[in-house]
Amino acid sequence: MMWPWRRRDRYLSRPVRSKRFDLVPCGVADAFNISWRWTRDPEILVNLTFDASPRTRVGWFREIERPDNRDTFTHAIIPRGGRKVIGLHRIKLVPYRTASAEIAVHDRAWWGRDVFFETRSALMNHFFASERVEKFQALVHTRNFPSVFNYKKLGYRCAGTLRRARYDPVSETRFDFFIFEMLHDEWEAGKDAGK
Amino acid sequence: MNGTEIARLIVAEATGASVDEISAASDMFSVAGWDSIAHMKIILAAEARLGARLAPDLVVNLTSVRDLIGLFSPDQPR
Repeated sequence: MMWPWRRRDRYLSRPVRSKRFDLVPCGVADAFNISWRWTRDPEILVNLTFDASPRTRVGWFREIERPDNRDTFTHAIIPRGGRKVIGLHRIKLVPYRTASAEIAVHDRAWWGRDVFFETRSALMNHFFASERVEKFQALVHTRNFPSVFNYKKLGYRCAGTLRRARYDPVSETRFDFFIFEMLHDEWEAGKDAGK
Repeated sequence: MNGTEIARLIVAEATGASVDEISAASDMFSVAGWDSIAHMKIILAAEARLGARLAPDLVVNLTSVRDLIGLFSPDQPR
């Protein structure tokens, strides 16, 4: 039985298409199986979780944001016409009407090819069309310069810095984060301005 | 080399453009090759030149050649 308050959001859980990609909502098993490979990819693991410690399958299952397609969404990024998943885009709805988002592209052949711009833009258009979302936000490691570039170029505003917010026991490094955010009306104004 | 020349050279090398194509007014929106990877190269090259890590507030506000020139002025806090 599906409890009424756990039902998926019929609109937000629809697949989304961009020019080059199909963004397909995942269930828990797909989200786990696709992301499990990241536990053996320190570069992605650190940028995403800020902790390069080895993970067990059970530990990783507990750690990931498990999509329910109501408040938490994981979209597989699949080049159109193909079946190979090149990465995942995750969105979690948090108070107040905020979509907290992150993306990981594990297929390095797609790095530097504007996957972020295209997928995030398509998903922002989709989610901002819902009354449940008025703001997108993201935390970005202050040394993750490609991501900082992506958010600045897309028009996100840096609302501040979280200093020494996380600690990686492997590298014994403390991490600072930028808080990037964009309101719905700012997104629409940017589109009108032709950005 | 002065700060302007260093900044133009860094951006040209990272973006694959010629130095002549890069001016003080160039920014991440106007230079075709200024993508996310080039941006990383620009910041790392600036840090190598300065011999120090840039503070987060400088990193997040670095979007143009003019910002980069500012890093190489003697009174710029890092």
